[in-house]
Amino acid sequence: MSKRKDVHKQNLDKIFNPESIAVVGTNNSKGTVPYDIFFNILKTEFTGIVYPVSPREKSISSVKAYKYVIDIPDPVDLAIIVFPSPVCHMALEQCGQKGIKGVVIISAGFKEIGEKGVERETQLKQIAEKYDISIIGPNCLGIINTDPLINLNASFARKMPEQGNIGFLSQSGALCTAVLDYALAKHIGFSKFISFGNKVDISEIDLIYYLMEDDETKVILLYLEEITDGRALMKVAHDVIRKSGKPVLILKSGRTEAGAFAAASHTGSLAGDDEIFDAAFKQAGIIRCSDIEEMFNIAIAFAYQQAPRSNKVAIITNAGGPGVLTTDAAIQDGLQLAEFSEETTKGFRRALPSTANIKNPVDVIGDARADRYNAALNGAFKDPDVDGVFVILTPQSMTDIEAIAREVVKVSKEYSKPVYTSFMGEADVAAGVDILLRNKIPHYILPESMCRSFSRVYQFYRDLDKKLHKQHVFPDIDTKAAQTIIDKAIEKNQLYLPEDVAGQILKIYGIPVVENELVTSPEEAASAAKRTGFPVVMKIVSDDIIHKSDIKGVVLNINSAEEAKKTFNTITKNVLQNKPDANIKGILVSKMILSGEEVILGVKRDPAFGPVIMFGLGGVYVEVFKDVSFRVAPIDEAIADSMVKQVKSYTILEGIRGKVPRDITAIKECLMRLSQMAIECPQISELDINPLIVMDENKGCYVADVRIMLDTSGNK
Amino acid sequence: MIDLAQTYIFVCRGIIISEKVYVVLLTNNAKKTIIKTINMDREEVKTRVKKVIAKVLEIDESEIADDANFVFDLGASSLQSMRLVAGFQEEFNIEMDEEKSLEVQTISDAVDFIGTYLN
Repeated sequence: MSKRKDVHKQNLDKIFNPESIAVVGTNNSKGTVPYDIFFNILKTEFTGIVYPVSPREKSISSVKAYKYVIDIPDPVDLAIIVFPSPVCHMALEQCGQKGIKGVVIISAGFKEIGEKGVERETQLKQIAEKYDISIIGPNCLGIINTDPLINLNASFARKMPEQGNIGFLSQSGALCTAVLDYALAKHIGFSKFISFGNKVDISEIDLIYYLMEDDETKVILLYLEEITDGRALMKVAHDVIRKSGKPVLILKSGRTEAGAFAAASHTGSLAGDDEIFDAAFKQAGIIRCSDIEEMFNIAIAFAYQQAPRSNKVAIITNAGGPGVLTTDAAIQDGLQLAEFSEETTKGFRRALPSTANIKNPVDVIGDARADRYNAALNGAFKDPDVDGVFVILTPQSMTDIEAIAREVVKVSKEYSKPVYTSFMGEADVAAGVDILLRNKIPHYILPESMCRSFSRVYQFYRDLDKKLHKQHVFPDIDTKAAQTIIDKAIEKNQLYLPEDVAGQILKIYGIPVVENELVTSPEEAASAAKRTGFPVVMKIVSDDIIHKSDIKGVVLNINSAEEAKKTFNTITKNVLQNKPDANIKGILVSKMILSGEEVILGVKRDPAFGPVIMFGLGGVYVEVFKDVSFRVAPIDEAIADSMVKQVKSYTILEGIRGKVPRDITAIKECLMRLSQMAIECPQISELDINPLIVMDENKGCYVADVRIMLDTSGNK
Repeated sequence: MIDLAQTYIFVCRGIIISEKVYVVLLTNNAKKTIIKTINMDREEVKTRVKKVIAKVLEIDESEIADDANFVFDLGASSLQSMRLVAGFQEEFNIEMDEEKSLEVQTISDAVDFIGTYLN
């Protein structure tokens, strides 16, 4: 752990559990951030002491004010700086002199405004390092700790949230206020609520580790706009999930394709930011949410209910249609309907009307009142095959909604199995929903959201014991030889490796390349073709040509020596016509493989996550079908296996309609070897193997074409 | 810079706006341009800067240290900072670059900044 990380670890406790706070730069102007922050601390009855620091005011809200923080006679644990950005460094310097170790800087006007703001942040960092201060912010809403022993609302949010066990972290301050309002309406409570803004010092990584240790926090929610260190995020999530069993849910904004525009390879164009986030989050066990509603839908399931032991659920409904909808959604989300025992069925027969459906989903019929729900709930909870109960309600004229809600609360307390509810509608069910939410019973407007949330919770606990995957290291690789080839190319400032050279690197890494020869005359072409065996493929090799087909530099299916000679001349002529300045190295004559399935393998180096490996259905339509999977390197066999199985065309590889299965083991080995290459050769910025021709089971695979792009900017 | 002969001519067309001599040129569209201030020393500028600050921030001049920061030491709000700029312009009869003037944070910086317009 770095020195700063150690410092943060010590100081974060002071920040969230301070005995004394100074609000530095406050004033008496109601409705302004400097005033509201101070007043919020007072209003929520912070259990410690709060000191206003104001250059001009004698007192703030009747509390004696100090001109400078260094004038405060007593020790101070936390300073909230609300001065304008140009003087925040002066306030921070005095905090250092005063011995304050925890600081939250609310003020805006930093890196978000450009160069001047970046300079200000550099100044803050230097002061923080000088005095071992830890800073949250700047440009943030502030922090909240709902622990009744602390009662801290050091933010300019309108209201203090309810106490709960969700830890919420957000890069956006404005989103925080919206989330707080949303949460208040649904009685969703928080343990800590943290807006970390520009993260000049303390990052989301430090805060996630802090929440891992926080006894009040059961679920960690994170809203992120930018990911600066993707690998660190993956590691912290993995650590938190495995060590504490706390789920990490992330809402990542900015689902853009911007990263794909500059790409020169298929992999580059397919591996947009979003696909990489998805892959990385999945590998780390992070639950990625598509919007705030989904985030809280899942969060309350984790926060309010125990983990389901299996994916088998019982559905109790007073309406047939919603019962069917729920069943469909449950099955679609990978859940199973529990099979009731004979005893359960008998119980239902006794307690429910003859018109009721006593199989799963249990339909207690539209005129059901609380007593029928009671019988159905008790029966379902007691059944040994049921590990979760879904309660559906639609409001009929005789439906006693509130009584049913209370029944759900009462009965569910008697069992250690999770219960989720969906009282469908809005106005009529509102009072019943309120009862459920106040009693920490997860409620969803739509049964589909309920099923999805249960499914995500179930999957999380199912995968909890999965270990972080390590690179499968192949000992037969001469890394130095590969490095020598790459270094030579970089010395010559080559952005692209010609196919023959790229093929050499693949061979070094044990990835089988189709047999080939580089020739420089029609006669050599004829001889090489004879040696290789017909039919052959002939392709132009030049440092200056990436897209060979575009300039008619590739000819397939050459069946004689004479044809090979002619083709040599044709290709040369085409290239000279279409790319007259290209430096032609020669023509590659290679064996044409007539059978096998074409797949694509690729590498892209992501600025946040590093090397990312791609697998998918190959050929010219790869960018049309986009049937590809991604994983962040390193990968082992299990990850390679999941990559291959993730694509829709996997069934083709397995062999459909009596066809022999393809050599999937060989693909997986290639993926692992490629991952090792991506890690050991950081100069490779992008790589496409398209196609890799996969033969029948146990017969291997061959690279028919490869393209390697290098990063010559000194990233060695 | 213009020579004295020229100044003399302009004085004939201009007005005197304080005990110091200012030369104001009235152009055809009647826009005023200040072209010269004579003999205003730094100490005097500082005194007048403090006078403006005291008035705008409603504090005693004696409470204003020479190296005081408008925001950190004197508690000027952003609105007051703008009023200070307007106050300096009026006091010295100059037109300052608004963006640059709002970057000035201390009294000594303000004296230097205003000096660039006076010289």
